[in-house]
Order: sequence, then structure tokens, then C-alpha cells
Amino acid sequence: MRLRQSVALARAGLFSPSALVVLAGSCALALLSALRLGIDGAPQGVWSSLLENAEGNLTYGLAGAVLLGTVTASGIVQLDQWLHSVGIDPPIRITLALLGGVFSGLLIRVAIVVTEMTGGVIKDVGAAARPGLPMPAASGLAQGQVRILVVSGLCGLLGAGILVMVRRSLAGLGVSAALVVIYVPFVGAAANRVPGVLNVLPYLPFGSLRAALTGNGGIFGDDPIQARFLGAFPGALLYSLDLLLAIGIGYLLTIRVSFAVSARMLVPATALVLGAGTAAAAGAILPAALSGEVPWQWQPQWRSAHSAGWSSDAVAVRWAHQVATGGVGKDLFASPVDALAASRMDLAPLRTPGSTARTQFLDGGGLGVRLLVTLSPAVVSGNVSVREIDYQLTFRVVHGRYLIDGITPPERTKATLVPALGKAVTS
Amino acid sequence: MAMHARDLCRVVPGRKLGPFEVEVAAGELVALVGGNGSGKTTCLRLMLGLDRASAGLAQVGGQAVSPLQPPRGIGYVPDQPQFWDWRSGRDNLRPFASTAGAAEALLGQLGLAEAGRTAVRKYSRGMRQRLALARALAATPPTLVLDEPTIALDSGGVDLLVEILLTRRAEGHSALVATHDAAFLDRIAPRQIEVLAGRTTR
Repeated sequence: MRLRQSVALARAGLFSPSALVVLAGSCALALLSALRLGIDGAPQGVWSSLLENAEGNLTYGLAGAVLLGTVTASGIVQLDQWLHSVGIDPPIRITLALLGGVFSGLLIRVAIVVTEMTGGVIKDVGAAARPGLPMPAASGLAQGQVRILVVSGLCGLLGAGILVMVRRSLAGLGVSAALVVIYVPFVGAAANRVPGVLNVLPYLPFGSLRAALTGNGGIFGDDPIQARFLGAFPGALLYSLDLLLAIGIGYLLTIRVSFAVSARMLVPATALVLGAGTAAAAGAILPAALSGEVPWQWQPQWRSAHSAGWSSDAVAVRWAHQVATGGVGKDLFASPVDALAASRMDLAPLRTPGSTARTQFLDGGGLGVRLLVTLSPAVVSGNVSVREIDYQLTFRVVHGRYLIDGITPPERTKATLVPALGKAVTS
Repeated sequence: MAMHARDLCRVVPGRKLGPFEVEVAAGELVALVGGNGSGKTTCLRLMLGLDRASAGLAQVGGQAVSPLQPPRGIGYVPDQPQFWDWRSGRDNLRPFASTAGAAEALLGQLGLAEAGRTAVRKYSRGMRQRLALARALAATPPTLVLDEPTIALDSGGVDLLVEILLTRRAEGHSALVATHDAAFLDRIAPRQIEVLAGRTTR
């Protein structure tokens, strides 16, 4: 395989319509970003433009590099069988695809830098009539740009590795897009609602690469979304392992190892493994992650307490029963102080013949129980006939038990004024 | 021996294909003949190492061939040739020809001189077949392997293919052709090997 042929192969894949769309899209985003950032009307300067766009590059620019790497590699992988027939060895075919990815990652970075600098110049032209000077080049800017350039090449390599593994252009593009889109800040904001999912992100290929770049676990850059900390070295290690795995699988597929079993078996087997993996991951992550999001009856803590007879509902019933039989139910309170406060309340209605109904409610972050006591017959006190009284109990979880930590003073919810003339007025 | 297959088998769930026994001597024109689904394409793919054989031996130019060891000196026209569809015929051919002039000459020989600048996605099936043949010839390989080469060609295209195969045979080059086109077979008069129910029979 001569160098000229290699370059021609990589070039043929790079300038596919899909590649141009990815390249143009990334540059358009970079230009928009360059024109939006900075102070309106103030000179921007090409250096300032680069500096202010660096953060966006970490997401949109690198995402573009991954996608372009995938598209470029597909130009070579799609001719894999024919390249085999003309005597090109599997390692060379894979290397070509990967090099195409690296090249495209570097190319898109250069294109983005040029676009951002152009954006800076355009802003300068717009601000020419205003005073001030464009910002000079910041120290460390070149070093930062070189780092992003290298990582962009690695992103292209990652995208190519994904395609080498998946081997189908559209499927590869889908996998790459799925792997990077979750790091776009507004998607990350959604993931932030489920901490378990957010914590997985640093360990995925693109996330580990981002962690290797930033070294601060901030895979969303400066956005206030905090994922689990992952240092630069573990990030680089994870990225390398991911890449090796993708290339290894790609190599096995290239030399048709799986075809000894049968391509027909490969598809359901892959689906089965992916399905089982997804289910296992979901089973390991989602219950804990979602435990705070589901209704209280489904939350593991309440269900566990409920089965042990110490749910809020059960404790409220027991307290009402103990009070009705002359006790105070001290063991049902979170602290002696709470029990003392409750004992000073008017608990007589609970000791009066009648029925008690209960409903549960959410009190801020906690759970409460409303006890509605229906007095039968109605109790007449002065000129007021009381038929219903409610107590609202709030709870605190102590060692897996819901214990009462507060009771609101009883309220008369259905009372009747009995005037001297005997005409009732309901309040 | 240009190409050689001995006891070549491929086992897929519920079915065993082979054994395939094929020999193509230098300068010989050999045809694998048989109906649709008889196993011609499988035989070719195993002989080129495009699929992994469960048993047996495939050799090209005396060298063993497998998915790990690609064949050398082969020009292959698959039954469904793949190209960079967004690029021109010339761009598809260029990386595999020794010079730009050689690529142009091949396009001219295959009747694609004008279409050479057009994107391949705009090609008809017959034009794609011609381009596949041009690509197979680009590196001037000693052996051609053609899978149903006449299937989309017009009569002019078939004439051209016959001429190329006969000229190459006269020059001492070999070819292995899988086809069920009786008229084409009559014109190139190859040694025939019948493939029936997933195995070579003679």
C-alpha cells in the first residue's frame, strides 16, 4: 500500500457530503458563537474570540470532531471487502480508517479556529467606530489551543474507532451522536436531575476524554453541572481502554471471526448482549438514582418501613389507638420533647366515641398524616356542636422508622353554632 | 497455479456449503456455473478470503488466503460493487491505478471516458459494472475474479468484457468467472466447473 493510495483513500472518505455537512455545521456554530460572545460593540480581536469560545469548543467543537471522524472512517470501511480483495491487510485497513479519523479531527479544529478568528475580525469591523483596542493574545492561549487541537485529533480517532467497531455508516454515526449529545449542556441539565446517570458520564468514552483534557471532572466545562470527579490520568486510561476495545472488536469483525459463527447469529447475539447490558446498567443505576423522584409509596425507605410496621400510616394509627386507650405512645415519637409537646395538646376528641379516618400528605420534603376524627354523637361545648376534628402529624425517619416529630393543634373542621333560638349555622 | 481451492467448506447454522474443489492454472479461463443460490458466490468469497472457511484450503498464486491473509494479484468484481458514490468515476479509480493517465485510459477502454467526471451515484447499474471492471483491471492483476459480470451489462458491455477476457487469456492471464449466462459462456469458452446445491460437482 503506497502512501499516495493511503492519502487518496482517506481523502475520498473525508470529502463525502456527510463529512461536509458536519464540517460546515461545526464552523457555522463556531461563527455564531464568535459573533455572540464578548461585549456588544466592543472590539473583540481574534485572540479574544479564540479565548471566549474555548469553552464552547469543549463540547460542540469536539462533538463535531467525533462525528467527522466517524464519517471519514466510513469512507474506508465501506470498501473494506474490496480493499481486502486487492491485497490490503486488515491492520492496514483499520489503521487507514483510524488515521482518517485523526486527520479529520485535526482538520475540523483548524477550520473552527479559522472561523472563530474570522468571527473576531467581523466583530472588530462592526466596532471600528467605537473606542478601545482589541484584546491582545493572552499568555497560555497557544498552549491551550494546542491541547484542544490534540484532543480534537483524539476525538476524531474515537469517532473512527466507533465506526471500525460498528462497521455501518449510519449506525456508527448514530452511536457517535448518542455518545456525544449527552454532554451538550442542556442535555446535561436534564441528566442532572438523575444523579446516577450524570455520574456515569465521565466513564463513557467521550466523557473520559473530556476528563483527560480538563482534569477537573468538569465534563460540562464551567457549567454548574457537577458530574463525579475523574482525574486526567484515569480519564486518559479509560479513553485508551475504550479505544482499544473498539479497535479490537473492529479487528475481529474485519477478519470475519464472527462470521465463522454466522452473521445471522451475530445480530441477535449483539442485540441480546446490548439489551442485557442496558438492563443491568439500568438496574444498577436507575433504582437508586430515581428513588427520590418516585411517589413516596414507591420509595424503598417507605416500603421497607411499611413492611416492618413502622410506616407513617401505621405509626399514626397506633398513636391514635394508644391515645384512645389512655396512653400517650411515647415510643412513637422521634424525641421525648416531641412526645411531651403532644401530650400537652387537647387529645380528648381521640378518647371520645367516634371514628377516625386518615390521609397522607406531603409536608415540604417530608410525609405527613392527617387524622380526621368524627365524633358521634357530636360534642356540644357551650353553644358549639363539634362533629369533626383533625390532627396533622409530621414524621422524621429514625433508623428506618417513621416517628412523629410534630402534631399540629387539633382543628375543628366541622362545627355547628347552636344559637339560643335553636337555629343551627354551619361553619 | 493461479488459484486453488481444496475441500473448502463453510458451515452456517443448519447448512454446510462445500466442499469446493477449484483449480485455475496460469493463463486459464475457468467458469463456475450453476443456478441462483447454488453457492457460486460463496465459493468465490471463500477463495478470496472474504469469508472465513470452516475447513479446507484456499490459495492464490501459491499463497494461502484467509480473512487474515488477503490475496495478492487479484482483480475482483463483486456481484454488488461498492464505490464512493459521491465521487466521480475517475476519483474512484485513481487511487488504484498506477498513474492518472492509466486511470483515464481504463475509463476510455470501458466506455466511461465522458462519464468519468460524473459522480458515481448518477451511474446506471451497467455503468457501475463497467467501473467495477475498470477498478479490477487498474492494478493490472494476473488473475481476474468476476462474480456475475454480465448481469447489468448491455450488449456492448458484454462484447467489451468478452474481448478483455480473451485478450488477457492470450497474454497468459487467468480468470475465474461465476455466471449462469449461457450465451456469455459460449463466447469465452472456459473450462466449466458446476456448482450444485452448495458444492462443486465436476
